[in-house]
This record gives sequence, C-alpha cells and structure tokens, in this order.
Amino acid sequence: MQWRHISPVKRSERMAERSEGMSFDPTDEQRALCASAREFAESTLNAGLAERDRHGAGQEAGWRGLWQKCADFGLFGLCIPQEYGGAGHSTLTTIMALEAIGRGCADNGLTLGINGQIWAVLKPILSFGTDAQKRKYVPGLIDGRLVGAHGLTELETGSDAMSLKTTAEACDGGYVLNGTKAYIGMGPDCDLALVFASTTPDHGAWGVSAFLVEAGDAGFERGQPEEKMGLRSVPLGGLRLTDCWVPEDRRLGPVGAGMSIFQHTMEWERSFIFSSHVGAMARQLDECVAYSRNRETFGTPIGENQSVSNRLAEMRLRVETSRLLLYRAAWLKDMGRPSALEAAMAKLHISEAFAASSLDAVRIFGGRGYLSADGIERNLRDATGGLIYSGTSDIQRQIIARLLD
Amino acid sequence: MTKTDNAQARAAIRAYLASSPLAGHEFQDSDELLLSGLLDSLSVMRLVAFLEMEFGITIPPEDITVTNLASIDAMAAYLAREKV
Repeated sequence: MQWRHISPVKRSERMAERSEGMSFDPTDEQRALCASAREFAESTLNAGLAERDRHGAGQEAGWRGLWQKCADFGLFGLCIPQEYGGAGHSTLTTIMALEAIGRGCADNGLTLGINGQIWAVLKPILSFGTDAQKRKYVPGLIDGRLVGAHGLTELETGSDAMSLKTTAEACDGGYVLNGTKAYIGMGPDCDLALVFASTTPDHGAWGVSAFLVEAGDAGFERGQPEEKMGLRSVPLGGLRLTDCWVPEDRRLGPVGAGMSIFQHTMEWERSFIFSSHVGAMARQLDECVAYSRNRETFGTPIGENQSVSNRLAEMRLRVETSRLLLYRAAWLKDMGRPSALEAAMAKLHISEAFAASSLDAVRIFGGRGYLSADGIERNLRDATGGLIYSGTSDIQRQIIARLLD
Repeated sequence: MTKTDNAQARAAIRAYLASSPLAGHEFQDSDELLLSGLLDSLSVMRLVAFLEMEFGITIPPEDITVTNLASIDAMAAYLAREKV
C-alpha cells in the first residue's frame, strides 16, 4: 500500500475547492417554503410578545402553546429524516426556512429555543443515538410533545465546558448521575435533557459521556426560570441530578464519547443557532429604512443624513455577510464536509453583527428606540446573549486562530 | 493491514505529530497524548482530519475516544481494526 501525502496546496486553491459548486439561489420549492414560514411567523408568533418579554417565561406566558404551533407547522422536523417523521429537507433549505421564521417572528427567544431544539438536541440524538433511541425520542421532539434541553454547562465551567463536575457512576445496569447544571436553555420546562457527565473522572475531558435524562426520572429536578437581560420569552435555568439512575440504554454514544458529541454538536449549533436571527436582522433593517425615510428633522428625512445612511449601509452589509456565512456553513454540511472553522466564523460574526445592528437601530430610532413600546430595544437585549452562549466571541476567535493553516 | 503497512502508518502519524502539534516534544509510540494534555481538543480535531485524509477513511464521531486515539499505538490499532 502506498501512503498518500498531503501536497502543499495554496490556501487560496483549497478555499476555491471548498466552494466549488456552491449556489444559494433558492429553488421554487425553497421560495414557497420560506414564504409559508414567514407568513406563519407573522400571523401566529408575535401576539403577546411584549407581555412575554415583560413577565418572563413562566408557563403562564404561553410559550408552550407557540411551541406546539411551531411543531404543527413542521419547524422541528424540517431537516429530520422522513423515517423518523421529519420532512427530510437539506440543511440549506432548513436554515432558509428558519431565517424566514426570524424575518416574520419578533420573538427572538422563541426562535432561539426552536433552533436549540433542532441543532443541540435533535441533531446529536440523530448522529449518536441507537435506532431505538431515535424512534423513542425524535418523533416527540418534532411533534411538540417533548421539549429538549442541552445539559452541558455548569456554574464553574463556562467556556471550559469539559471540566465539568457532574459524575455518572456505572451501577445496576445503568448509571447514577450526580451534579448540577446551569444556564440551560429550556431547562426549567424540559421533558428530556441531554446531560453530559464524567464516567471516568481520571480521564478528564476524555472521560465524559452523554445521557438522555427524562423529566420523570427520580432524582432529576428542573430549576426555576432565571430572570435575564433578554430572550425572556423562553426559560433558562439549572438542572439538578441527585442519585439519578438512568438505564444503560439511555447513554448516548459510547462511553467516553462525550467530548466528540460535544464537538460535533457545537459544530451544528454554532453554525446554525442564529439562522432565525439573520432573518431578524433583515426585518430590523426594513424597519430602520422605513423609519429613516419617514422621520424628518430639520425639514428632511433623517436617512438623508450621512451618519444615518452610513449606519443603514453597515446594517445591510451585516445582513449579507451573516447570510453568506450561514449559507456556506449549511452547504458544507450538506456536502458532508468538515466545518469547524466555518461554524466558529458564523457564530462569531452573526452574533456580533446582530448586537451591533441592534445598537444602530436604537440610535436610528432615538428616544423611540430606547423605549420598550416598539420593541426596538428588545433586540439589543436579546442580541447580547448571543455574544456569550454557544461559546463566547473570545472563544470563537481562539478557535478560528487555531484552525488557520 | 500488513505489518509493513502498520509500520508505515505509524511513521506517517509520527511525522504529522512531530511537524505540528508536538513540534519540539520528544515522544514514543506508546506515549499517552490525550490524557496527558499534549493534544487538546482542537489538536485532536486536526489529527482526525489528518488521519481521514492520509488514510482515505472516514472516522465517525463516536470513534473519537481515548481508546482509539490515546497514543500512536492506539491509532495504529484502530487503523488495523478499520482494515486500512
């Protein structure tokens, strides 16, 4: 056998090779799906948003009803194989539809929750689950019966996620889990949690395994929703595991595969968690353009002031660059190619772009943007969380730098 | 995988590690690379990409464990099991 050796190909050539055949022109089917998704979002998901934002994500806020409507529309199953009840769309088609949802739905918390369920719960189960696990959980996750949570983070871990302290000790044909998770999106109301715990503490990050914990398991407690700056319309909180026994067949993937499951899941999550936020940025731009044309000061529309038009231009640029990074990451996934670098770039750029454009929107709307009535300031509060979750901007920069050739 | 192929595989992995993530380090085929912290998670990601390209295989994510990647010995054994 002759071993192949890597030839010293120029970076530009490798980049060109990685982009060959890439086209983002939507097909008729994609256009129809996006139009339908946007219309659904505009007509169904915005009612009562101000109240949900004001009062937080208790059950009385009604997010679960909206969740069910999203499930009925088919959002959770967009890219799920048909054999498990999904629509079997490509990743690119899926994120186009999710972007359209964000274009129509101003509830950034809800759209984040939807994306989290798809990319951080369904995807790892599909990638690492046994057929029995997929048949048990995937249908419920896409038809709205189950809300999933990604139970990784702990109070002291943060960016150093794999230094977790939660343990899973093999016992009686299963595992006994002990530990506490924090900052878990949808955690307070989840029906199913993907929990990462150390099965071999001596192995550090390489001794972590993943488990599917059900809300009814003895010793599993869901915390109260935390009050937070933004994304208030869906719950975030802790999970506690106290001698919580789960059977062997609820371990996801092999023993010690937790690190790989985490990396694999983060590649999906960082690539696409902001799919709907790109739509939100486009909607935000539409609102700013319309306002800049109509709002007059000193006898002229404010959009004629270069300071305002420059902001609009930057906002448009952020929408386009965010969309391109998002679509390219999706295209790579559909081609079955690795995309760790593209995932980190998408996560970093889109989150920073949404925060910057949200602040620009407040500046353009002035006092009206600062008040809560129009929801302009809500985007800024919602966007701030994106700079932190799924790996902070600083961590994404580290990853990008490390993955440079 | 024949004995000769396995030796070639070890040599290729050794050359890759010596050229990049472990440049400047002395290491043996039996040395523990993951648990010792010599390779962090991003280094392992790049190592997996190298193994896939070098040996023309796809390493599924569930195979990225300490059992299969702990050392050059472990990687060679994994490649042999995968009948590279």
